[in-house]
Amino acid sequence: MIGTVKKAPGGRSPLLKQIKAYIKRPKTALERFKLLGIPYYLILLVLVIIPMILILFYAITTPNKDDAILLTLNNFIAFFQEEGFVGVLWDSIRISGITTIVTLLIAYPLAYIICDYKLKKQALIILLVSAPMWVNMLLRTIAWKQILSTAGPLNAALGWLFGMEPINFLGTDFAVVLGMVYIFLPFMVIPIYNNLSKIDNRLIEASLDLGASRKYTFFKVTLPLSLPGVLSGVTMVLLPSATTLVVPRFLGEGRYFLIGNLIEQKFLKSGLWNYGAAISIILVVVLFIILFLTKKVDRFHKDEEDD
Amino acid sequence: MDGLQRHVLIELKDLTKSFGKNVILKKLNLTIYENEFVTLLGPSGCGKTTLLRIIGGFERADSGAVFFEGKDVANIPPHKRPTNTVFQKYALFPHLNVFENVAYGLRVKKMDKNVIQTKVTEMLKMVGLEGFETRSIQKLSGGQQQRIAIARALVNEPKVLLLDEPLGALDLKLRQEMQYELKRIQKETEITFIYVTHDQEEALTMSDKIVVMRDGDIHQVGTPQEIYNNPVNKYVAKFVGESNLLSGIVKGPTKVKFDGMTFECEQQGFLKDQEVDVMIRPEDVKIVALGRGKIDGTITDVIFKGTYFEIDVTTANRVYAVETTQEYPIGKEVSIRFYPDCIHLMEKI
Repeated sequence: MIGTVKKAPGGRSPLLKQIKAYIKRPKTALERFKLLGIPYYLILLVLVIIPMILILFYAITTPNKDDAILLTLNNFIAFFQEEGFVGVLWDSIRISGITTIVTLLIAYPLAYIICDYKLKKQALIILLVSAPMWVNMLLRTIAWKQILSTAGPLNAALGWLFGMEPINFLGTDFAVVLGMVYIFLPFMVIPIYNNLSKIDNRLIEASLDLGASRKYTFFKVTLPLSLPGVLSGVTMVLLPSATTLVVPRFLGEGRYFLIGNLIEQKFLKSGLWNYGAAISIILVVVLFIILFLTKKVDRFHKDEEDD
Repeated sequence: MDGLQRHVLIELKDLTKSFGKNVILKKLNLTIYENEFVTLLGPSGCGKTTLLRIIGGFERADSGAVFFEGKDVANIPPHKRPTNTVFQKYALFPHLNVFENVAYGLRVKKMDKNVIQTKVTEMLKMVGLEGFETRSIQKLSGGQQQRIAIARALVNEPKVLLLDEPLGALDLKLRQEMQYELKRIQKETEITFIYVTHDQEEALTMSDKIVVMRDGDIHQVGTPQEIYNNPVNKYVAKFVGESNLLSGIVKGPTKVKFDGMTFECEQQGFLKDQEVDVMIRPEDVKIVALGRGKIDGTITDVIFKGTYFEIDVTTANRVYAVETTQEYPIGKEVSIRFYPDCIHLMEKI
């Protein structure tokens, strides 16, 4: 590994020699340390970047009888022209939006309360919050289907308590949002909890010391400082809930045809890969716009990025 | 300061506090006057910070009471007390800029915008950070953050400013500068400062009154001179300044015996044959030619300290630390002596 480069055997191009010399040159500790990252870059490349490029490639091309590749925007245009598809997109965003808001409303106070406990108890509660994630998501969703069905325990309880006629909850916004909130709650609680628990208690004391009430302190200190956690929670819930397949299928009773289902249909049932890819891209763009707008609201986070 | 006109601001009566089995404060009594710079001095774990937090309202005493101008404040939460705090490591709000940090307390009080503008500007000028209004807190140096923390507290015009080791995170040079700065601010604002530190130099430089604490007890309360010249016991003597500490026996109203010899001293009030601790400050030990002093010895160590030499004189019974401006060679045989008013007797602890 020392500086001198052996003369390459004849026939090799000078460029190759240069590359070899470059690879064999003496490396600093930092450079050697950076080499450790190579496997991860490879994983990133193979599992993330190449597939993304492929999706984009499919989205902007169209299959041709002659196996020639044609660049086109028709896949995108078709989506916006097809009746009902924009509605599907809107439905997805609406459902995932409601899910995110409900999850946030449950998760924030929960995380806030957890932070008041002693450290050991905090760990236990966080464990409990994330425990459902250990059970297969499909099973949990099917369990909710049973609970919410007309013959299920929820209706039995309502009938017994209030003498109500059985209601079919399945296929309503209520059922779908409930299922999603249940599945995505830990993804919201954990980042917010992590963020809240890191806020220096002296900042709260400083605010009280300066004459602020507990309520004022919450809105002026705790809440703004916890926004980065809220933002990552929102990201972790909004994105997957917009594309989930399982929940609308089992709790939507076929009435909920969301963007995830649409993509599935185009890819698997109709074999229209190019069209499916275009829909995926549209979804990504829309979600990024939403996240971008959310980030704009989050002033503190922006300040941090400026540093 | 005119003792007759001083107005009692805070009174602590039999203050006791424990965390679990640890007794932090043991029946403390203390009176703090208006416009005083009071320093609570002691090693970590002596209860000084807890005492400060009780005064600020962040902790409750188990028993005893805190009176502000004669009123018991046990049930008054921190945000309703006439105190403001400069926290250890400042606790500035990272999401607010310099102006908003300083303006925080005024905004809470819903003051008029123009008044806030004027007050904050004035306060930033006082701490020497004009023009820093829109800076982000994270971009300030430690010393600047320190000044902002002081400005943020003082802008509310508290009756008492509580400072919890505020200079602890700064480097030596800056710390010394800030000591003078703090003293100046205190004089200018005429606000009572209660300052917690473990640094004796800080305490001596700034305070009107030093409260020396140890294990939840107050050992001595006095001016810096009193504490330095007349420590009540070995512990205080050791904590404030360098000293030669030894055991002696009182042999008369102005006589004390140690190192097998009887010395004249000025201290009064001890019984004959009572065992006492004897303190002699290094600067009070005089080196004279061999045979000219009371105790003979050899110079065994000389360290140059800039304005003086720190010299060890080894005698038959002990090593005396001496501070003198004259240099002596190591190994030289000398004598040492002390003037009667330099031998300080203290109750044994």
